[in-house]
Amino acid sequence: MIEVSNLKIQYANRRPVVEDFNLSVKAGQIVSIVGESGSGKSTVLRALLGALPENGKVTAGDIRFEGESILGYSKKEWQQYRGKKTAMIFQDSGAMLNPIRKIGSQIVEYLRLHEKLSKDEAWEKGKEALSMVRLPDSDNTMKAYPFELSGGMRQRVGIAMAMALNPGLLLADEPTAALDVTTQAQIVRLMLELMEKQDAGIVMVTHNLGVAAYMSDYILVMQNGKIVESGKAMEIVQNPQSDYTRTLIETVPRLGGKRYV
Amino acid sequence: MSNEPVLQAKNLSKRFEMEDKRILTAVDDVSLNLYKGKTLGIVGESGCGKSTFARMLVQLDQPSDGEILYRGKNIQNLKGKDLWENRRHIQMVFQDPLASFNPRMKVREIICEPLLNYKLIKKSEKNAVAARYLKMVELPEDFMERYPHALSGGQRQRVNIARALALEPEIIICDEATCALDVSCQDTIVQLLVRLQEQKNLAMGFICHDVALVSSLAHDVAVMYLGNVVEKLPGEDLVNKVRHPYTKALIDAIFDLKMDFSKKIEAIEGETPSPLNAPQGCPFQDRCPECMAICKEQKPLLQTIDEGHLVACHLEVN
Repeated sequence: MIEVSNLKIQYANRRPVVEDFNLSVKAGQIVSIVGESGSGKSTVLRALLGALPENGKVTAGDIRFEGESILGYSKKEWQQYRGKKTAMIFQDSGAMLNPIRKIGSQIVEYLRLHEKLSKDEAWEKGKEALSMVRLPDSDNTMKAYPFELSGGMRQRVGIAMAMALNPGLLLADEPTAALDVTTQAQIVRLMLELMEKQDAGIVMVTHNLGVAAYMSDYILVMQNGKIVESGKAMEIVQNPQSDYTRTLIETVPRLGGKRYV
Repeated sequence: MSNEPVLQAKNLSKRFEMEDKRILTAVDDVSLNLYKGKTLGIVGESGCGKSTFARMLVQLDQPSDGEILYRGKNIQNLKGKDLWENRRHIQMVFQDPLASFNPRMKVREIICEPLLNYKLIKKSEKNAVAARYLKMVELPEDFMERYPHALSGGQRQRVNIARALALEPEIIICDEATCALDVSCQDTIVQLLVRLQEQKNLAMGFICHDVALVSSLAHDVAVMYLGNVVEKLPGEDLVNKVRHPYTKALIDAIFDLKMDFSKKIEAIEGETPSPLNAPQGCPFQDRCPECMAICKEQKPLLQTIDEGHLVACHLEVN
C-alpha cells in the first residue's frame, strides 16, 4: 500500500535527519517505528503525510502510495490523499481540535470537506463514527466542547475522525503516550478491532516497545535518523541483533525485572 | 522497618472549593511514612491525588485536614523563618526542569542559589561548589557555564537533582522525575538516584505512573485511586502478591516485553470518575469486576493483611 525507498530528509541544507529509510506496509498490517527522542521517527511520519515543516525536504528517495509517488502531488491531490486515503491519529487529539468549537461541528466540517454530504448526513455519519469508537452517548459528545471530555475520550474522538472516511492507511504518532495505562490498553484494543474491520494498514510511531510489540507485525528501530534494525515484531523483541535494540529492551522497566534496590 | 519515620503524613486530606461551591477532594485521609534510606513509591493514574500529596509533603500546598510530622514535630503550621528553616530538609525534584529553572540563570547559579539563600557558602565559593555537585551527578565541570536550554533532558534532570541535593536534605520527593525521559536515560537517572540515596541515607518519595518502574526501585509502594490509598505493599511484592482489584487492573494493563503476545490485553472498562463526584462507598466500585452490595454503601478501610501489606477492599474481610 505504501512503499518508502531510500528516503532522505533534510532541514534546509543541514545534515540529513533521516537517511536510507525504507518501509513497506500492506493492507491489514501494522508497522511500528520505535526509537528515542530525536531519532527521526516523527519526521518520517510527517513526510508520509506530506506535512514536513517548511524548510524540511525530501532530498532523495521516494514515497509511493498504491504505486504512485506522492512527492509530486499538487495541492488538490494532497487534499484527496489526506483524509480519504490516509489519516493521522495524533498523540494528543485534544490539541488537534479547536477548543472553542463543539466536537460535532468540527467533525461535520471535516467530513464535508472530503465527501459530498448534507449537514444532516454528515452529523449522522459523525455520530456513527463516535459510536464505533465506543464513546457512550454519541449525541452528547457531538454537542460537547473538547475540554468537557477526558484525555481518553478526546483520543477516541481523534480516532473516530481519522477512521470516519475509511482511509486505507492510518498514520499514528504516539497514539497512547499521553494516556493512563488502563486507558492505553482500551485504546490499543480499539485500534486493533477497528483495523481488522476496515482492513487498513497502520504506520505507528511510538517509544513504547511493549505497545509496539503487542500491536505490530513489523518493527523498525531507529537511531539518529537511520534504521538500525528491522524485522518481525516478535523477533526484534525476543532476539534483537543490534546492541542498540538490546539496550532499549533492557532499559524498559519490567515488573519482576531488574531491581535497583 | 523498625526505625522511626523521618516524615509522617497522618490522615492528610486536601479539598479544593470550586467556583460553584462544590468540593473537590483531591486527597482523602492518606497516612504514609518516609524512612531514612528507604523509598516510598506512589503510583496511580492522572487525578488520583499523588501530586497533590507530594506538594503537601514539601509544603507547597496546605492540607485541609491531618498533619505532617518531621522528626515527630508538626510542621504544617510553620510560618516565616521557621518554614524557611524547615524547607532545607525536604526538597523536591520536578518532572520538567525546564519549567522549574530560571531560563536566564546558568547551571552554576541554579545549583548555588539554594546554598546562597541559606548563607551556607560565600559567593567566592560558587565555582568550587558547582563543580562538586556536577561531579556528584556525573556531569562535566564546564557545564556550570551553560544555560538550561543548552542541556538535554537527561542532563537537565541531573542538574535538577544536584540542585535538590545541594542543601543536603534528609528527604527528597521526586514527582514523575523520569517520565519525560527516554528509557535508556531514565535508567541512568534512576541508577544515580538510588546510588545517591545509599550514599546519603536519603528518605525518598518517588511518585510515578509507571508501576513497573516504581516496583523496581521502591522499598514500599502505595497505590492511589481517586485520592485514596487502596493498597500498600513492599515493592517486590507488586509482581505476584497484589490483592486490590485496582492494582491488579493496573498491572494487567501493562504491555510487557516478555508477555504472551497472543493473549488479549485486559483492560477494565470506563475511566476514573471525577473527584468532584466521588461515589459513596468504595472509590473503585464503578469499575470493579468484583463489586458487591456493601461496596456501594461503605468505604473499605485500609487493613493489614500481611506484614507491611495493607489493602482497602471488602473482599479481604471474608
